[in-house]
Amino acid sequence: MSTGPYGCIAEFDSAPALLAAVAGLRTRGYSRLEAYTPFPVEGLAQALGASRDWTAVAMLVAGALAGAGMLALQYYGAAINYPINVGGRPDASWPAFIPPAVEMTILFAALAGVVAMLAANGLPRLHHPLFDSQRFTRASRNGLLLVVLADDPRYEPGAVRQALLELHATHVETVPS
Amino acid sequence: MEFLRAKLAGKQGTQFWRALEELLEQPQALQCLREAVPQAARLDPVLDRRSFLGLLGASLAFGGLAACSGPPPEQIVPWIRRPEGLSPSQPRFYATTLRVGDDVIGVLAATHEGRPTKLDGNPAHPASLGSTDAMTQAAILELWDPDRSQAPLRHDAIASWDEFLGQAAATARQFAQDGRGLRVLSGRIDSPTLAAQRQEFLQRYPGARWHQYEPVDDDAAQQGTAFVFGKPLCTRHRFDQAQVIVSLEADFLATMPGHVRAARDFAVKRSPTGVPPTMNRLYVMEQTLSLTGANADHRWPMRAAQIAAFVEALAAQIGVPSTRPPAADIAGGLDSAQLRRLKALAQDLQDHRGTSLVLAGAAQPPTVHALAILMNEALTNVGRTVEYFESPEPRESSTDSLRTLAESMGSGMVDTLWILDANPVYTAPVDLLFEERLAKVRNTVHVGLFRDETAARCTWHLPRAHSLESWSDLRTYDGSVSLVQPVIAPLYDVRSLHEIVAFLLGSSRADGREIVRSTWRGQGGLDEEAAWQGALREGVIRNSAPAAFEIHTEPRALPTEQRPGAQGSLDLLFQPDPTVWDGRYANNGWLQELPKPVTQLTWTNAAWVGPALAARFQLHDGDIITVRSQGRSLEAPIWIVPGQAADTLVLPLGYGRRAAGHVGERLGFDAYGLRTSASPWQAVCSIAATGRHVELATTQAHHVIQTGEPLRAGTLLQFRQNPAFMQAAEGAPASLYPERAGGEYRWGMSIDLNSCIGCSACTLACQAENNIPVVGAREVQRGRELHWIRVDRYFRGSPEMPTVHHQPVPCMHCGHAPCELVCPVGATVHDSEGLNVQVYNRCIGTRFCSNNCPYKVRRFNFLQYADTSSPTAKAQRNPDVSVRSRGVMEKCTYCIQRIEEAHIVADRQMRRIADGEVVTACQAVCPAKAITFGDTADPATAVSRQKASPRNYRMLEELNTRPQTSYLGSLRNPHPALQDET
Amino acid sequence: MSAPARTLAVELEAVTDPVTAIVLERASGRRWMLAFVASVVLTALLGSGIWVLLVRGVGIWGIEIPVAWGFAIADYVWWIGIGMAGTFISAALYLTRQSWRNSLNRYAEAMTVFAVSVSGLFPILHLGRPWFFYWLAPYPNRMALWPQWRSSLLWDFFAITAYLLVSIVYFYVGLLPDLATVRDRARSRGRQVFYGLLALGWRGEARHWQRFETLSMVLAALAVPLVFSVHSMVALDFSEGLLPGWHTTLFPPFFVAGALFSGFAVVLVLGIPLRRYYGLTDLITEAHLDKLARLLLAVGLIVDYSYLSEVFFAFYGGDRYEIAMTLNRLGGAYAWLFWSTIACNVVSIQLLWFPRVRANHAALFTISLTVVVGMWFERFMLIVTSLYRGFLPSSWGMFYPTLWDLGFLFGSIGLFCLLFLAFVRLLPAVSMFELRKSAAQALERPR
Repeated sequence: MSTGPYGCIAEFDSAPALLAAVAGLRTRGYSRLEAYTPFPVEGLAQALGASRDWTAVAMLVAGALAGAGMLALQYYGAAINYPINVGGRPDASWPAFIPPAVEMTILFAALAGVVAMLAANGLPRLHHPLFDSQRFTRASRNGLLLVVLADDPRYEPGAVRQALLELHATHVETVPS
Repeated sequence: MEFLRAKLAGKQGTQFWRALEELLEQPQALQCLREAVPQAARLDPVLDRRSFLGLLGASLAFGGLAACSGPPPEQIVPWIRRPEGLSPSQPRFYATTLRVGDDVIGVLAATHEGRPTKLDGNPAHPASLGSTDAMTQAAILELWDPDRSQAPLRHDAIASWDEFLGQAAATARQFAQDGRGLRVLSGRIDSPTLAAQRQEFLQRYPGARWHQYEPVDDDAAQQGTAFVFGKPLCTRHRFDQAQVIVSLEADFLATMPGHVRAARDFAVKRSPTGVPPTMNRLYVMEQTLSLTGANADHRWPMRAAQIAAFVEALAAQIGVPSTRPPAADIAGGLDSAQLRRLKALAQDLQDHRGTSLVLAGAAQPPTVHALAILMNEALTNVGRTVEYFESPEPRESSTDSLRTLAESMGSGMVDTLWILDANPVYTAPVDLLFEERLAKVRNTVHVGLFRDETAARCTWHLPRAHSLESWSDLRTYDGSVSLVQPVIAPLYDVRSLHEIVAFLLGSSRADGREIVRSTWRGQGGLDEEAAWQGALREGVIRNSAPAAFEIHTEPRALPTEQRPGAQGSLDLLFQPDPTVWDGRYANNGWLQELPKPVTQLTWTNAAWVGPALAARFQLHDGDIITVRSQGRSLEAPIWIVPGQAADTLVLPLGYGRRAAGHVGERLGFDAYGLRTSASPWQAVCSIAATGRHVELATTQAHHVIQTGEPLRAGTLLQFRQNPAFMQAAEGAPASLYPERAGGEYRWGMSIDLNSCIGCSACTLACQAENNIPVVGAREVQRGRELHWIRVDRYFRGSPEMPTVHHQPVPCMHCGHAPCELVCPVGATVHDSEGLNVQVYNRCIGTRFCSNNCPYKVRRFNFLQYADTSSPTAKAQRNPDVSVRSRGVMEKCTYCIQRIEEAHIVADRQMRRIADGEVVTACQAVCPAKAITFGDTADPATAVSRQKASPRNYRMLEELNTRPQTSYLGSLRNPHPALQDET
Repeated sequence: MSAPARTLAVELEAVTDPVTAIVLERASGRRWMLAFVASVVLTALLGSGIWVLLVRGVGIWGIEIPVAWGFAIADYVWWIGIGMAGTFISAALYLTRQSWRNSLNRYAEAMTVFAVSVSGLFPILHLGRPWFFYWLAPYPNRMALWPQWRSSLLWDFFAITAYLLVSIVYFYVGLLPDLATVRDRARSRGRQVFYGLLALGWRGEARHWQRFETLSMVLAALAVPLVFSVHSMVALDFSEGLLPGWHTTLFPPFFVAGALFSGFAVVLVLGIPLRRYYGLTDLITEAHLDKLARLLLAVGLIVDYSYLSEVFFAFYGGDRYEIAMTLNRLGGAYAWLFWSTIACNVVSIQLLWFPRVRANHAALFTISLTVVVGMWFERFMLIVTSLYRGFLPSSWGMFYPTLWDLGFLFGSIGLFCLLFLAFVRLLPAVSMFELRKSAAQALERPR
């Protein structure tokens, strides 16, 4: 809701240049940085100081729960709730219970993963200040962009612009919020 | 046929095969193509709605009629062995009697809320002993047939009975003085009451005549007895006394009067009992394969002439005083093989004087019948295995009687003709021109169940009450009489035959019960009401059978037969159809869909040809041929029948009906078109292929068995040497799974293949009991028939002289059921009493269970087969069995509804269910008592004892399905000297 | 230092613009229109078929006793098999770092989603009472009714459900960055909104990318075992039965191979026209087709091997029913089916040994098509030859299809084509961000 700018956006012409810029800004004490690239860049997230990624963990947990739950459900249904003679087989036919359990494990792990990824990324988010910047559309095509957020304690338009240009930004502009 | 023999020589003796296609066919590649390429017709998925409705009997049934009909007003008497005053939910049983085909059988009619739903045999009735046959089972459907005519018709316009009464009175007045010009035509008279009415009729109208015509006649037998005894007599055979039986084309197990009883007596002597175990021995000489031939120990296919020659030779061999001027020795005509048989057979008969039996079939000439009688006498069998008695009802030669009628019709001597429950326009021999001569008769009255071909050409058509709706009495094969009582008030505005005849005799308002009752005043000891009630309750009149005729024969020269038979031509043999008989059951869907025992055809007839003949004319099943005989011709599809004599063609009667109802019309071809009064059974013909082909609806697979032996068989000799010779070397395979705890009972079934004669009565009884719908010819062609128990038939040996075996196959109720394992919704599961139950409501129709059933006993409702709309269909159904909808799998339940009923009764009385208390429908109907059902957990039960037999085996045991239905292997008892023949 | 940078931008445009162009600029074109109309007609046929089926019952097909499964199940197995290749290309090749698959995986995944959806119709429609198919799912009910867990049909129900959902999710997640690209390049408001909604606001922030890549990696790692299990389940639909020809442990791997085989064939069948008519020859190159052709040959040989071992084990096992069934398969009424299968799936692919054949698109296209047809023959042959002659000769019987059987087969093909044609017009048919990544990597690689 702040009427101030969203931040200062700069474009770089190669992944290494971008990485160098990130490193440079952080040495200069800037912390609120965002990088937008048309393809995943190795190490960029780390350079920006990424937090722990819980996606894989969420998938593991969900999968395990689903699998175990499925086995339990089958056992309950076939052996406890309504045991019935089918082809002379034992009520608890464990080998036969495995296939559904496997399938459900995978299904729930996958779904959990997607949910986790979207949630952690704060998606879906249908509007974002950056979408107003013409420059930003290049981020999904051929531009490597770096944004210094306005709420960075050390944010000061002139200085930021100066720093970015020093770090070989090919273009710098301010994005309103 | 050479390569055939070669082909078979390669295989060991126990090689079974099912039909000839693969043995006979041209190169396999072609065969495959012919099979694999679908007929254009097969591409059309949609079932012709109209005919389908017809099948369902959903044709314009008068709504609610069935519903509003209940027990008849007159007093009828429930069967003695049911407790009185049952709750309406319980079925009530009434003993009554039916005329089925040309047989008379006593039945118990089960009625729910006053609606007859099922017929079972009357144990007290000599022709039944508690069993029935397929046609009797189907009678219930006939009662509820919506196509039955429901009101009097005058020139095809609905009229009232009063109008007709006026007409009848006029007739009575017109012929008051002498009655010349008045004729009555009925079927064979089996009813004392009808005979009495005939008497009265002839006294009242001296100049009138009463003709009897039965398309399936016994003229030859009458002439045979007349020749020997001087007058026509009836014959009763005692198969339970006969150790050696020689059947000269006598189909006593399937079509001869009394065949249900015969099957029972035959089966009794068939079971290998005693030490050493013994069995009776059956020799059959016949032109084509009959059910009796299929059960023979020695079956010799012969042409008509050969049979006659052989019989004469045989008679001479066993010392029948020579009946011919001593011409050249009679055995001259026989080849070495036949002579060998002749000697063995004659010897066998000699060894069994007094315990042997020789009998001849309806199609055999009078001389053969006479010779049979003489042989029985020579073998001192008379009085032991065979008796002769005089029929109290007047008998006359069918064809002669009809011929005289037709001739006088032709010469305009007939003014008024009443046709009582006969259909001569359809069944009369073609040379009598009955139809056109009928037009010359001024006033014609037809009485019958249906508006058939004859009805359509008569002034009046009067709807007759069904036997289950009317009073009468009937004399059965052995002469004993039983009463017919209505078990339901007439569904429509109809009168019983006796009532209608009474109109002719001048009475205006006749009461059927009174008519019958009056017949028995002063005879049969039925005067007191108590005795009458007793007779009604029992279903039979005690000692009503005439005494045996005192035998005195004087040797006379046999009339020399003028045998039809130009050289180079084929013998032509007519046969009643095994299911629709002479055509009278054409409109009965159950009988139409029942696979015919020998051919396994449904919904049609076909010209039977032997393998050799088929090979000669390059014919395959379904190829259409032209049959020419005595200047007439017809076209018919052929069916190859193994074991049919070469140069013989068989035409089954009863099809090609023009006016039968929605179900029965436009099926098959009308063989009456070639039948002449000169020789109604045997003629000569020539055939020619037309090059056209039709698909016939058969339930039979056309393949040689390559795998396994679902059916185990051997000889009495093997059995004596090692009773367990049929047991599989390795027993049942072990199981990975622990035995599950069973319930109070463990139901199981044992089927004795040695007793089973393959009559298919079980299939129909099951259909009646379990509300199994018919699906129609096209669906049968697709392989969608719904019968829960089928009768598989296997051949062994050469195509010309095969051994035949039958095997009824219901659900096996496997302990480790493959069907249960694969059902994703648990719609088929096991209950605690060992039943493999099918849960219709739960079934979603994946059909995996059927795929996985090695016995293929599961049936699927691919479309909506069950008729849920028409009231008569609803009324006929067994209320204890749910009707299955489209998309649901169904199968044999071991008649679970009967098991449950037994449970309820037993629980109410705080006791276990006794052995024999639960009787499945197939078991109840079986004439040979081949099926035993009961609790296999208790070693004392009949079924457990059966399963303990060394002949006991389980089908496809190696699959480890643990079936609860098991079989007793089939034995044959060939003559030691003729072992090599089988 | 600045020279490569300019080329990076150019490179990125080069892999981005032609793909977005198909969706944003390019007109539909007459060929597309014709194909579309044809597919609509066939789909309508399927629709009417389904209507009649629901009204009359499965009796409108040629199925009977003993052959209670016919075209419907053959179609089902065929379609779901086709689905496999997509998952394999995008997941297995991703895990094994086969970056060349980047230009194929998108439309291959689409093919998977559509094929699996179409195949899913048949198990439901083939039921006697289709409206009760949900009874296979466990859900609370007063009568304590449960599905019967031991039935392979039930396993398959779970397998299909999981497979369908996972492949949809996998496909959609993979689409997000490219949807964003299309969103950002879209000019008209409508498209901006449409793709904007679909893209869920994807911005390509570095940390997002990181989580995105983890997810893709793990999903891929899950998808591979999933797809193998699914086709094993399909195989168990048969081999749980005790019928000769079905009851064999060979079936699961055999079906997996068969699935891959038909899948690759369809990838080729779709890819060759796609690259040709939409000018993607620089993205889907000769090299790609050649690799696919090699893969087709490889799995084809595995399938051929299982044909061989099937016959071998029938005799090696010595079970008389198995032997009879096999002989009958080779020489019985349906021998023509078996031998056309051999012709399509064994003989035809041997041509792929020759580089010249692999280089010839027409030949490649024809061979792939032959394989697709051959695989349908195989599925049908496996079903019918085991069923029509079971253990009891008394109940042997032939199967004759009806017109509706054919209607459903071609109708389903129509539906598939319809979906794929729509996909080509509405979604980026090639994974742009993955191509961008490999392009960038290619540049940074020190020469």
